[in-house]
Amino acid sequence: MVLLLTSDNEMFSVAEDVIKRSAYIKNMLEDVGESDLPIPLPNVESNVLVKILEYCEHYRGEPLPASDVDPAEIGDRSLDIADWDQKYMAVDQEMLFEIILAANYLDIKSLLDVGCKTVAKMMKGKSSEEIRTLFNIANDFTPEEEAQIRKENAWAECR
Amino acid sequence: MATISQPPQKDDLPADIWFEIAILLEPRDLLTMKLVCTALYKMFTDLDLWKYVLHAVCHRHSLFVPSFPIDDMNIGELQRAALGPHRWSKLLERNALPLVDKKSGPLLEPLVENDYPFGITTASRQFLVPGGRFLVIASRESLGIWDLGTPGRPITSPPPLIARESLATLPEHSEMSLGLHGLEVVPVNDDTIRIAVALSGKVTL
Repeated sequence: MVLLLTSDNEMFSVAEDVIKRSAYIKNMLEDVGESDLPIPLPNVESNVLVKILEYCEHYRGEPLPASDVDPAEIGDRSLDIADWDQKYMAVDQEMLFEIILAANYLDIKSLLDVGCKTVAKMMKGKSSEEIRTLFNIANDFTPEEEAQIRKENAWAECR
Repeated sequence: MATISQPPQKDDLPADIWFEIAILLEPRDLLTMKLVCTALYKMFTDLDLWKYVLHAVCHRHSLFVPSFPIDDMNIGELQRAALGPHRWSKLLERNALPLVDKKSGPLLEPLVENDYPFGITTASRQFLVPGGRFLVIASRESLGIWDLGTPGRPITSPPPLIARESLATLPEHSEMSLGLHGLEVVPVNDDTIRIAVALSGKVTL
């Protein structure tokens, strides 16, 4: 078992083959070897770690992706997401970003990919106003700045 | 940092993750993202992002990458070039549909008319390399590649001939009839195209 200590000081005891999906932890275990000391995760809160462990648990036993292989060809990246992953990612936007950040920090490539795809899917084909509503962002442009960007875009987009 | 009661703002994700998300989107979506807020505007007008995007567009649409001097292009040119396939489909929608009704589909005006000495004749064959910059012209005697200039930039006149290869050198005093039967141009990879010419004929001494 591996001990993990979250930013809010909660201790988790996790099976090694579950948490090894995190390349960060896997490397650490290989470097340090057997240890009874908990691994501190100062960037991950316990509610997020619970969610991350749910993912690792689900894919337990599946082969780990090769570390240095880039699975996607340039310009050939689809937005297809497996059914289970879609359900897993059906969380509010705050948690979605937390999962992405934690997956990035813990170096769980497949989870990071799914997170990025989920955000991309949410944005695809939307207007800027719809995106502001969706992610709760304030429009901080002056009318002049906005008009200028629209002009730039029109040149790129129209003939 | 945002306070606890506030929902996180867009820029809570670091730039490299935004890059990963951006390259999953269509170029058109990236233009929209520029309009959301100043933080995202900065993120989505990144030169390296658009270089990557134009590269990806070339791959997806089988455009010959050297058609675009990607490293010399400014952000506006990169965006416009990346939106090329989108503009093309819009142009078709506006002008070429419905296909049968000529009245609603006026002929497109040529951008520039010229009489450059390309050597296009009824007996020659030509191929415009996808990307719109390089024109290959094969005749019975020679094969030439012309550089029409970067799409979207003013046309240099006259366009330079960048390569020419003689196809048939015949002994003097010969009467001959050579036929040109085909020209195929296949982009091999990011910087190479393969050109095949089919010739036939008989030579009478």
